[in-house]
Amino acid sequence: MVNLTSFTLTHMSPMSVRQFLDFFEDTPCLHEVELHSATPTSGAQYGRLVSLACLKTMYTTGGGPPFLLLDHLLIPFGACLTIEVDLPTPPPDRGPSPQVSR
Amino acid sequence: MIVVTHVCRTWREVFTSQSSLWTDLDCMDLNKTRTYIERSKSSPIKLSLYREEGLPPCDPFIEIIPHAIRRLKSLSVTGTRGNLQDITAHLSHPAPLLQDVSIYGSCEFQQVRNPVLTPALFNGDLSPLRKLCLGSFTLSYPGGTWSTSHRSR
Repeated sequence: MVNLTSFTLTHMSPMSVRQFLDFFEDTPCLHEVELHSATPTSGAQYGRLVSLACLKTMYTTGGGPPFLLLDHLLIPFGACLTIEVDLPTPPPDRGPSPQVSR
Repeated sequence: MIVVTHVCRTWREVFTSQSSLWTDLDCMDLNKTRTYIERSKSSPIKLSLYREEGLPPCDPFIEIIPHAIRRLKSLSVTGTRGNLQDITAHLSHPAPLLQDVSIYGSCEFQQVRNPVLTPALFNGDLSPLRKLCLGSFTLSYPGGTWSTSHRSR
């Protein structure tokens, strides 16, 4: 897939960091990457870096911690990187907070 | 599009002679699909397949795809996790013009495991591809050798 410029994954079964990096090495023309609940959850590749030299936009949401993958990517200056994270659900409301008397 | 060819002879001749007007297929009706395939002549084809109810043995897609796959420029497939592999199993022939692929399995039954993309998809050659969208799949890479036939390592 050497000519691939746009790549989107949604709700994929878990892929390792190694699989992503192998894939990105074979797709040097990628401009756009979107990962929806598809970032890797394991498999750091110590010391391995892959350049996405043509990247213009990258968007991730859900899935594993995005740094597991991003730690291994060389992203060009000026590329737009968007990472959406799910915040923890707030605890249930326990009524009004006590008033402070003066 | 077929309706406008019934207006008059002139309109029919004009519209049927323009092959690029007949390149958007949905494979919902066999006769209509055959007509589109014939009138599109050798033009690249865009196929949008929506099959959440499964793929019956007499589905127009099954009859058409072996003849049309070499002209596919764009392919969009929406199915369920349960039937998606049945659909992609018919996509084993080479597709040298294919630039845009979107394959998505809806997630209404969470207990159904993601289907696995076959390494034989498009005869294993996706080098013409520009855009790829995959949803609810297991992508075996590189062990399944699905993704590229050009790995040098």
